[in-house]
Amino acid sequence: MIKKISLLILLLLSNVEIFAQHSHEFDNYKPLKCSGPMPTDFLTLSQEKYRADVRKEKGEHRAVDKSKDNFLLLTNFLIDDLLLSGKVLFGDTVTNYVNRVADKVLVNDPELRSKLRFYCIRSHVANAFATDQGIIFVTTSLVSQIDNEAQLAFILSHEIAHYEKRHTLHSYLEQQRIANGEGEYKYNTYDERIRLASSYSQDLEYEADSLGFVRLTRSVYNCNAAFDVLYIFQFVHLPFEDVEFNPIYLETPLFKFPDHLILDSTSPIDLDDNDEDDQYSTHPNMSKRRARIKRYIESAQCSGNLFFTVGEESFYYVQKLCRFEDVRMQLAAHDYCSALYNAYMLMQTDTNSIYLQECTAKALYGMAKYRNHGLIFGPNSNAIEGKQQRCYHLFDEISAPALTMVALRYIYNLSLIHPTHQTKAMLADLAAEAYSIHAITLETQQNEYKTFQDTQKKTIDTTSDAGSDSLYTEKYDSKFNELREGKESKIIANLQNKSEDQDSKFYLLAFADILNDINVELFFKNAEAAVIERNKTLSFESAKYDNMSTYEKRKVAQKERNKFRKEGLSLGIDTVVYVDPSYIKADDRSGLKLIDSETEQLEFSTQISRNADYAGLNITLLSPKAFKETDTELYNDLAVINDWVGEWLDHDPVLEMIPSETDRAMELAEKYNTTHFCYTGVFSFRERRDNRGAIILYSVLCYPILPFGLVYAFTPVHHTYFYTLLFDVSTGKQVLGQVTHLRVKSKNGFINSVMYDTMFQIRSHKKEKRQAK
Amino acid sequence: MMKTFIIAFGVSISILVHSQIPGYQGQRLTLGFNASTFLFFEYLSEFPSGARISYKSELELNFATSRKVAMGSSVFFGRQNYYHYKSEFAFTDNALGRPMVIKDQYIPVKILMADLHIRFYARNFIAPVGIYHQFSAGIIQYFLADQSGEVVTINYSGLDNVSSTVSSPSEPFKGYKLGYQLGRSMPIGHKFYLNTSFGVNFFRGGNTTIIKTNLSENNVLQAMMNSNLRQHNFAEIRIGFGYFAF
Repeated sequence: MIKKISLLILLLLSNVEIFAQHSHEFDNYKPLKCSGPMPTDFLTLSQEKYRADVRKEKGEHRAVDKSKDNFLLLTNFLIDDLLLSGKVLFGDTVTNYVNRVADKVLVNDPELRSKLRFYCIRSHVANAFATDQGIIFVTTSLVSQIDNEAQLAFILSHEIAHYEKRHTLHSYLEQQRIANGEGEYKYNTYDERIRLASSYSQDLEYEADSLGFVRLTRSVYNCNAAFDVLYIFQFVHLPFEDVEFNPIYLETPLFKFPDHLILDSTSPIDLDDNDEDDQYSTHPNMSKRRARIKRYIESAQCSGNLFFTVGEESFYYVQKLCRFEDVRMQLAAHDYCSALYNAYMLMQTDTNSIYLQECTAKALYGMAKYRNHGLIFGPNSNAIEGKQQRCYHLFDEISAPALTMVALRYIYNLSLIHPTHQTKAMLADLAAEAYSIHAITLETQQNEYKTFQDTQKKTIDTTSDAGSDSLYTEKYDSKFNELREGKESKIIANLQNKSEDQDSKFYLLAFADILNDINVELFFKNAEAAVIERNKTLSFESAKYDNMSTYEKRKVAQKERNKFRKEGLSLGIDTVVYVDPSYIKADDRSGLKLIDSETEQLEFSTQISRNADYAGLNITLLSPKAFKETDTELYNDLAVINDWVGEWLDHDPVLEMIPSETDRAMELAEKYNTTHFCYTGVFSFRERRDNRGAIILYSVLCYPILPFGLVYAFTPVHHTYFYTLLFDVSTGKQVLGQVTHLRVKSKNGFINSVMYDTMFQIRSHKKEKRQAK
Repeated sequence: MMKTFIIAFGVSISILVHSQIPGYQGQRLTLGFNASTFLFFEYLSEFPSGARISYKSELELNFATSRKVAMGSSVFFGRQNYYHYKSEFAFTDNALGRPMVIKDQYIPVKILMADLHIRFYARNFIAPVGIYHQFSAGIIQYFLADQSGEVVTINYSGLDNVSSTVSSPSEPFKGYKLGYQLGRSMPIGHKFYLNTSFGVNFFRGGNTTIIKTNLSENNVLQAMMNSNLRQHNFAEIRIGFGYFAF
């Protein structure tokens, strides 16, 4: 008995400890990472998987149907692209949890369980899908939206049904038949074919719902969850929860948002049944699916009645992880308003979370940058449902300088408690824009503050004057009285105008409470000095061209191009991380040559290492195709840098944005002892020569050259593109972006030559004597 | 003139050797061997005319002086058979009713050429590999390969007085050449490359026309031989391999 009690106490204590640990973990939340050995799915070459699938498919038959063969080839390569992108998680808390729920769902079917693998994808889009190879993916956003474990169990059951019935394969084959107008589709119009393809896909969804539901009824989970999931999918575009947005946390004692920026009431969420036209959609609309599920629930007998079996706490913990992760994903997708609103919502419970404050700062920074350059960063607030509309409205209506100052103040406050590379960089960038775009200086802020103080004083004086006048309780019908009243109303009108003017310039008070702080003063002065210095350099550069004619300008430009061609660059970088080298081969007849590309890609990685040796460049190669079981850390690093570069490429170059993952990228920079990350690859394309007829005709007319003409006409044209993108994560800038086009076959020798040249340019220092081998 | 060119070439290489040139994986000096050949049609004195192949070997040395330019030198050598017709007295009339017969004969000569060249590499290629345009200037000469090539003229001044004189090319061709090549050097591994090119050469110097006022055997022979040289070496297709020295 005592033993049992002590065990219970121990269990309770450990739970308390876990909670405390979790709470602390969310204050300094670190994004999800993979752990443990890398699964075989990530390590086997796509061509090996494809060949194994073909062998399995062949069985006793001599050959596999061409469409099926294409399907196996395409899916294996596409899935591997996703697996090796860094977006897929394994061995982490969320994926482990999903696997445990899958174990519960498939507890009576161990054979099927052994064939299936479950992974989570880091994505802000709520989705789940199954592949013909037995991999089921669930996105973190989906987990962040569902309410309980039973709902997840139904989602997994639905996807398991897709796998069991080979829906992806059948759907592909049917789509091919429809697209080619084979069999019964021969006489259908284009429009009818699209509708038929959608209808076929919808039938498969119904089948998956039905089989998924049957599986759920046989499990320990409550069947009603199936119905609820379809509701969740209808409202998946909404945030996790609907909470009032109060922007007071962005204000300061002197800086308040004017009333017109705060929406009094928000649009209600449309709860009507979803009856949208789904005839061209791959999925039936939710109301139809719900109606069917409802019928199943009414007629079926559920063996279980549980909403949680793995554990309620585990579920909520995992859900919270996914919600935290979602905010990060929304930032990367430029969905700044959603990120800010979700961060605000999560901050209601995790008030001290530095991570959420960072996300808020990044969202404000992103919005300010987009607004400063006249670019749109989110949907119109009128189209937004629910309480989040207030957040959207505020950032829709706020002016660019105001948004810049709001962001600047928030980031400034954050930098005082959490001074990272990114917060400092964002701060410097926004301060420069505040000065260069909106002419906001320390002086303008000080003047505005003075005016504000004067207005405040006058208001107080007027009120006190009116108080003394109020001694005249009796109204005399005299000329003096009329004049006096006229003067008073004029003063009040003037004050009101002043107040409206101040409303429009309220943002200049963002730093009013700390303007006397020497650090603030220095901060603004430094920003101004940096902009002046940059402008001076730019004007010096442009002055060179000012007095030139167009012809001279063109000549100078040509001269510079020639100089670059002859001399190249000298970047003086000693260490670089080469990330995910790519090699793509294609031709105009068969399109992408996936197997050849993969084979060449492996050789290409070796070439990179060899050329780096010759060029004396220190490199680390993050080549996912060459990862081994123990390379989980490298995979995590790949994910970080892929996220950083992916976001960088998504932004308009004019913005010169600092990507939201810069601090994580800087951690990598420290680890690899370089801030430079390079993406390189080859795209090789072969096509038939144009104007063959004309070439042959000319050759016949000029018969001595006929043999050469014929050889020339029937020799295909080869294009080889070699590209290099080199980024500096510390500055957020692309240091090098080169695409070299060679009109020759993608022979290793030529690629070596261009690759070595690029590495030489990266490594060589200006005016340095040649030291490379 | 040539001396100045060689000095300028040497000086420019010594200056450029210290600049930042990538070369091929850091290697800028190449040594190569090419087989230079060309198929041409020769009009013999008697029909049918025939197609012939000329051949010479080449040893070349190139040095990448910038990302886009390589300078070098080549030495060509080979044995070529130059056509010469020989008229002989016949004791019986031939089909044309003339007491003369024309006999074809080939004179084996050794040819020697040396040039200095500059290569400009095509867009996006880095010297010393890739597609290039080569311009060359050099000297050329030939001489008899062996005694069998001597042209012996038999002089008849009467039946009892027959003598012979050797009139093989007494003044072997010496001249200049200017050449253009369009070629491609393709690296194989780290150390070797394959070279292919097509080019034309223009020669200057030596007598190529038969001087009618001086129809000596030697004059005719000289003119024919020089024409032969142009014919054999006007165009060339080169295939070879090379080595990246450093």
